[in-house]
Amino acid sequence: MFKLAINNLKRHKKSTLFTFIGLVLIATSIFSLIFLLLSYRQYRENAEREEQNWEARYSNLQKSEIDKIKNNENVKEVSIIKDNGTMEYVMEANVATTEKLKLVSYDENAMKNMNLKIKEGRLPQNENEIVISLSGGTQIYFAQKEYTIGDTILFENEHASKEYTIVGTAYSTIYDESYMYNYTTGAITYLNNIEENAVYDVYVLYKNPSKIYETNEQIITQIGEDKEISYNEELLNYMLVGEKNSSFEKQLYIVGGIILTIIILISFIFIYTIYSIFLSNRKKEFGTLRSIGASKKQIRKLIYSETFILNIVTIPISILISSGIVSIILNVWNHSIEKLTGSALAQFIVNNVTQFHFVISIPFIIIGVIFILVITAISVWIPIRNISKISPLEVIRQNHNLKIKKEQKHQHKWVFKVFGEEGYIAYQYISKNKGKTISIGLAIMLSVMVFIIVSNYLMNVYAQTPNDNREYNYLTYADNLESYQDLITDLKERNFVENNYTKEILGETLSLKLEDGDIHAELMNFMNSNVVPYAFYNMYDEQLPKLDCNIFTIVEDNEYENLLKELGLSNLKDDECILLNHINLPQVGDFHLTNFKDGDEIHLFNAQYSQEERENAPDLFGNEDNHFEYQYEALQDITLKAIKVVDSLGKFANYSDFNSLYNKPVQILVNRNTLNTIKRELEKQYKEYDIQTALTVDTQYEMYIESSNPYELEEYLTQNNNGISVGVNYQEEIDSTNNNRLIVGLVLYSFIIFIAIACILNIFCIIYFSIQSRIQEFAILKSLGMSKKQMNKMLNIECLMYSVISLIIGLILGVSIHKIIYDVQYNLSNHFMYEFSVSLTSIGVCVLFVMLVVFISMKIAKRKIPYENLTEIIKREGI
Amino acid sequence: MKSVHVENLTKIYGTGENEVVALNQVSFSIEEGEFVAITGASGSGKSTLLYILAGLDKPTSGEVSVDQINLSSLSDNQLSSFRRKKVGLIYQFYNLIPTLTVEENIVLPVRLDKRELKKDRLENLLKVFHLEKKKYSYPSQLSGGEQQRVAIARSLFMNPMIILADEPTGNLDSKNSKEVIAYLKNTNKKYNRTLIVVTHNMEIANEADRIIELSDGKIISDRKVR
Repeated sequence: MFKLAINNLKRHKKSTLFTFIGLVLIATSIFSLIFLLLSYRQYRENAEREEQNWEARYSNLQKSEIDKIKNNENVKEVSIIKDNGTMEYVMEANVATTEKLKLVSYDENAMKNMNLKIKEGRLPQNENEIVISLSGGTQIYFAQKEYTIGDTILFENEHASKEYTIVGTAYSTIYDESYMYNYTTGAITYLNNIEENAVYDVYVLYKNPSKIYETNEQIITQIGEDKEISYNEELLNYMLVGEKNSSFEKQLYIVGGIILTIIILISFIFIYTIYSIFLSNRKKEFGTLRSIGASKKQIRKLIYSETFILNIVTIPISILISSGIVSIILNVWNHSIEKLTGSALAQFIVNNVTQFHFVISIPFIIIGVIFILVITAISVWIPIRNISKISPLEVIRQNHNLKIKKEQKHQHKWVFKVFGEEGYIAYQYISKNKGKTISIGLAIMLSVMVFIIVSNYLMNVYAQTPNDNREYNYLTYADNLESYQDLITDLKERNFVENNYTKEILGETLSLKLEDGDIHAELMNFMNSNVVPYAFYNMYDEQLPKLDCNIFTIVEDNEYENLLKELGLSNLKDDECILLNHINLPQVGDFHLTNFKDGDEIHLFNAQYSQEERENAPDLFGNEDNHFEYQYEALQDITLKAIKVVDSLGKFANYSDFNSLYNKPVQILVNRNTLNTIKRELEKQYKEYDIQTALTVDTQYEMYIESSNPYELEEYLTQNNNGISVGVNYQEEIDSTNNNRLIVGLVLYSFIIFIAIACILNIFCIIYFSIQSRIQEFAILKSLGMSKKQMNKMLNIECLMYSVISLIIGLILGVSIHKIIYDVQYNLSNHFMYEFSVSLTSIGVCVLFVMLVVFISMKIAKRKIPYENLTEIIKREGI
Repeated sequence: MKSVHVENLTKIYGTGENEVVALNQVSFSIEEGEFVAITGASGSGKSTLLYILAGLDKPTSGEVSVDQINLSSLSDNQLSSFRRKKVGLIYQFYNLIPTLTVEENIVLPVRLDKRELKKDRLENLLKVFHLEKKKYSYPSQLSGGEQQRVAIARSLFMNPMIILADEPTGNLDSKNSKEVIAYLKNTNKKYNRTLIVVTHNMEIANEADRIIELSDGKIISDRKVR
């Protein structure tokens, strides 16, 4: 049987080649998906381990208990940490502000495993040395003092008092925290000895993490059930040993599931339709085999053998090709990270991004192989079953097996009138050969459907990938305008500045009051999601919904006027404002904040001093721990008219990190008069209510620079610090965001192109081989006097008929299923997603390509139609 | 008037070692209205000769004129037109278009020629060939004999000058064979259409007015029967 199968494959070279190419495409896509997912999973696991490399944690253990853990056969390594408590410092000038220094002792394993990334200096090597976190800043700063490496610091609390020598600074530690007016900085010293009477936290790594729960049950029985144990769920989930239904697994299942479904669908379309046509063209061969005694089972076995042989050849080739493709993709990604330097690299280090590694897993390859064999077997099952049923008599007698239920009069006069005789013959062929027509139509329809779904889905994913178009790549701050202007002059002379503008921002935090119905649904969905950054923490409590605001104006008159012009305004009157009602959060997305419309009144108030706020949040204000004492009556709201509510302020975007304490979600632009008026009003109210801490209301200046050499600018400002902050160089952030988008785009659009190629190949094969099988029919028509022109017309009309209908159905199905996928994802993502859209470009491209491919396939296939020397063809036994 | 004139017709297939001389310097003429049978063993070149006369194949050398038209000088479009207007072809395996009804198959060449359909002529043919009740049937719903009658009706409906039949009874039983030959002969006599039938069946050949025998691509005998 195998020998016959191999001979058949050799004999039908063209069809074998097309099937081979199709199977390679399908298998390559499946293996590429497997390798990408494996690499991604490994990447996430590595990233987690970079952050904190532990799998389970025991809290407050004594020495004897620690020893029992160490001795467990499944325990690979333990990191031991001792909490030495916290030193506090309360600012005299603002009693609400508390600074804390949290000191922990790390043993050697903890130094390695707990993400202690040294910026300068070294790790502590004994119990008198200390490393302090920079907490995102550039210098060690505590209790209104600056420290550098080599300085000593006195750590003092109710339990201990000891001096430490600072030997290094760290980018950040897991103990750094800032909330409201409380700031905690982490400090690490060396843990030399485990003392008998002290308690420690023990972080455990296991030899066989899949048995983690079993192992911990054993440990618990030894050390007591009252011991607190917790798990690094994120890491365990990435290792696929954690609890089910984690967000990682959900993500994996959704994305992987969607892509896999698409691949399966394409595989099925391609293999089913190709085999339908190929096997149909070999009817005579199988009929002859049946006539000499082959059973249906033997026919099926023969074709399955052919399929299996093709798979055996294509699978290793596909594994090689997909390995190459995935390696290239990962290398490109890694290369883009390597290019980063400076503050953006620091940021990446802090955020624990590591390199991608290409991962091969034999079990997963085996799963892939089985999967491909199963898909192929299922896809060919129907065509094989149909052909194996062929009656030998049917072939011998040339019964065309047209399933004609009743006689039919020449009723389709409209076809004849519109398309002529040639069109009528084409129409009759289509309507009477349902099997072949359905195969062709199905191939086109499903190809269109898959292309629409995949291209729209991936184009939406790409559109959501953050894109950084900021022209102004450098930001610096100052408290007064004069020093700014001197700086700008200096920087311009040194060619550091191409363009610049300055924002003058109200120093006081005012909040935008929100009533029911003012909060946009997109914002509500966002607040219900899992990723709420700091700037939104204050947004919503049940009594008083509000959003903190930045109230600002533009210092440069020409820039201010240009902005107003862009927004369609000639001027902004006193007590009027422009409200930026849209926000874009990196890695999260963008959404609207409020339901305010042009012309609405908005109310701003100082939440700190509001009696209403105080009354409704007694735990926050007025308790004994908080030194802020409130004795004031309610302050008046500041009311402005939002003359324009916009989604963008163009180049005047808000650059600051929304996880910063200082940034606010809402941006409100006013004219200088209004800003000064607000300042005076607040000062007046504070004086009236004797708010001692805020008798003057400051403004701050942010200068945005467009620089062609931002790194040199950064260096210059670092070395010539004249009271202007070095500021933030956004260029690397811009580059890395755009690099990332480029890579994502490359991957996604490569996948779209791959899908397009698969679909084109599918349509081409179907049409080409369908035409090939009708050569004799064409020869007969030629012999009856059909001219070349008439034949071309007939075939063109045939193409038009089934491609148009299939295209329309495919487009409708494609858009519908795209919507269904969107709805499923929308529900799974807690309703926080981009808006549904259908790309007209993808539809246009699809229509154009289908028509092109169909007609080109027909044109190429027509070359095989004989216009001369028809004798041999006609003399073959019937059509 | 000469309906068919062939002079020094040679047809060679293949080249070099694979060269096959299907016809070798064949010359003959057929008068209008004559019924000629071309006989010979398998591979003698009889079907090749027939298809060259139909304009389906081109000779390697020599001249072929049908109805005073020199086929060698015609372009592809002209040959197609020639076949639509002048030649009625009947095949051994019927070669009906499976997706067209009996009626549609019969009128197909005339429609391709964009000529007016003569409905009375169609009805007459259907009656003559006992196909009235099968007018809207498809070829797969017909017996072999019925299919061949449709093929003959198709060849006659276009009102050709010459009817060429290649083993028209090759796939039929004796009863149907006799019927088909009777139809053809009747057409030949009644309408004075030149009829050339390729056959290896001497019984059928003897029905003709003249028999031309081929062997290895050459005419070995050309005799009048009646």
